[in-house]
This record gives sequence, C-alpha cells and structure tokens, in this order.
Amino acid sequence: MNESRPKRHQKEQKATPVTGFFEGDRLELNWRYVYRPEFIPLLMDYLGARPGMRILDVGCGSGFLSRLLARTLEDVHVVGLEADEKLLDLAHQMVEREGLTGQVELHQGDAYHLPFSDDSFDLVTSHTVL
Amino acid sequence: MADPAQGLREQVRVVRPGGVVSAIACFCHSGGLAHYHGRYPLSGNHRIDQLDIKLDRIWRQTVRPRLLGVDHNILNLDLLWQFKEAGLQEVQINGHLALVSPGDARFSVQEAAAYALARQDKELAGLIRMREEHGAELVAGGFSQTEFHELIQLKRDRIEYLQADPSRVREVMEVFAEPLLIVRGVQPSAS
Repeated sequence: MNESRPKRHQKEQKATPVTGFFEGDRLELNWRYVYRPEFIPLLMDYLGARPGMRILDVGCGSGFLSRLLARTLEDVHVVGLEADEKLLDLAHQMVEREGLTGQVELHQGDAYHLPFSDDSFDLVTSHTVL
Repeated sequence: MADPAQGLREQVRVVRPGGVVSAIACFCHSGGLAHYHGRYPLSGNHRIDQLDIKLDRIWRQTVRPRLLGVDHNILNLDLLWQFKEAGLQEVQINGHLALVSPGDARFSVQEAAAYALARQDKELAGLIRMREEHGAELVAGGFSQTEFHELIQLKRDRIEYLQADPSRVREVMEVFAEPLLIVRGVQPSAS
C-alpha cells in the first residue's frame, strides 16, 4: 500500500448524508450550466453509458445524473439510490416534472450496503459520491 | 464517502460481469480557479476574493474533513488506484473542466441574470448558514466574526447591484470553474 495515500477513519461505515451547503437545488442550479449539451456525448462515453443499459446511480441526490442518463440514452432503465430523504423527495419531484417516471425509479438506501442482488446492473455510476 | 473502497466493493458486487463501474468526481481539492469578476464597478471585489479564499481554506482544513469523516482535506487522489484495487479492468480516467460564466453568449440576458442572481443568493445563504452552524469552529480556525460580517455585506452589495439592472450581468463576466474527473473500469467477465 502506498503510505502517502490519505488516511481515512477506520470506523464502521454507514450512510451519513453530508449535503452540507450543497443542497439539491444548488446542485441542480450549477449542474444545468456545467453540463452544457455539447459535453453530454463525451460524458456518456467517459461513463461507459450506452443505450439499452440497466443503470444504477449511487447517491443520486436530486437525481440530476439519473435524469440526464434517461433523457440522453434510448431504452435505458435508471435506478437512483439516495440516503437523504429531502434530496430523494426533490428527485421524485424532478423525475415527475420531466416525465421520466417510466425510465427512472428511485430508492432510499445505503451506498455501503446496496439493496440489490449481485450482477443486476450493466452500469453502476455515481456523481461526486466516491 | 468516508470509505470509497467499501463503497466500490458494493458497486462491483451489483454490476454484471462485463459491466462497467464509473464515477464522476469533483476535482475539488484544487480549490477551483480564482473567480474572475471582470469590471464590477463596485469597491470590494478583491476583498471578496481574499475573504472567500481564506474562508474556503479554513473550511477545508477544519469543518469539511470532520463532516466527511476523513482525516485529510484532500479527496479522490487515489480513485484510479481504488478502481484497480476493486478488481476492475481497463480502468481509465478522463477530465473535464467546465468554465461557466453568466456572461457567456450562449445564455440569453434573462437566463444569465437569473443564473447569476440565483447562484449568488445561494452562496450568500450558504455563507450565513456556515456562520450559524460552524461559526465557532471557523473562528477558532482563524476566520473572525468581523470578516464574516464584512463578506456577507459585500456579497449583499453585489446582489443588489445586479438586481438593480439585470442586464449588468453582461458586463461583469464572472467565471466559475468546475473541474471534474470521470473514472471507469470494467468488471471482468466470468470465464
């Protein structure tokens, strides 16, 4: 192991949402401008996201990435997982508002103990979670 | 996550053989780029930068590591290594630097002004909340209550300036930088 790597607390990990000052609406506000349309095809390639995939978005927050994947790629099914109830409520609202309820499903859950069976997704991704 | 290795192990478990695990990470330990304020005809813009940078440094050294449960204020340095350690193959990393300016010609004036004002409103609200919830820790770290007061007032002045005439957003050309890393790896096929 590289000794220069940052040390992290060695304690039992559990989902402790740390949204701090980055509330869902603030993230929504910024990401809309950071992810300009010309960048989206490149982003899909970088993420390894392709049409037809079953995708898990871990720590989906307000669902920005889940919705972006569902809007961009044909025939994808995106599952968003979020521990923070307030952010999940916001994600539900945004998914409904954008008419994506058929493509995006949302769950409350712990990123350290994913409530899904083995081998159940084609792509597992996350946005500023790891 | 306080323990990305444990999180990654779970992600690898639920992805099928031949599937992909990827992550977008904010390259936030760089502290971002200095904001460029253009020609705000207001006094105090350089002072806002001084105070913003000072507060951000103290925040990252004190409160933020405690909230995130890490001993270090540098995150994501080892993300690539951790993807490999999790057994993923064909691991690759890509970067994207998004520079966002409300004065960008791709925005209409109305959209630009709405974005600039909303962003500044939220920054102000975040600053006030930061003082309320973590003020004592930040003051102990070296950011005084006087500096909090000064920074809040300067930001209020700037919001009022834009509110008075939203078309001014074209003149100020603020620039915000959002550097991102995108890492991905493939779960080996069971063969």
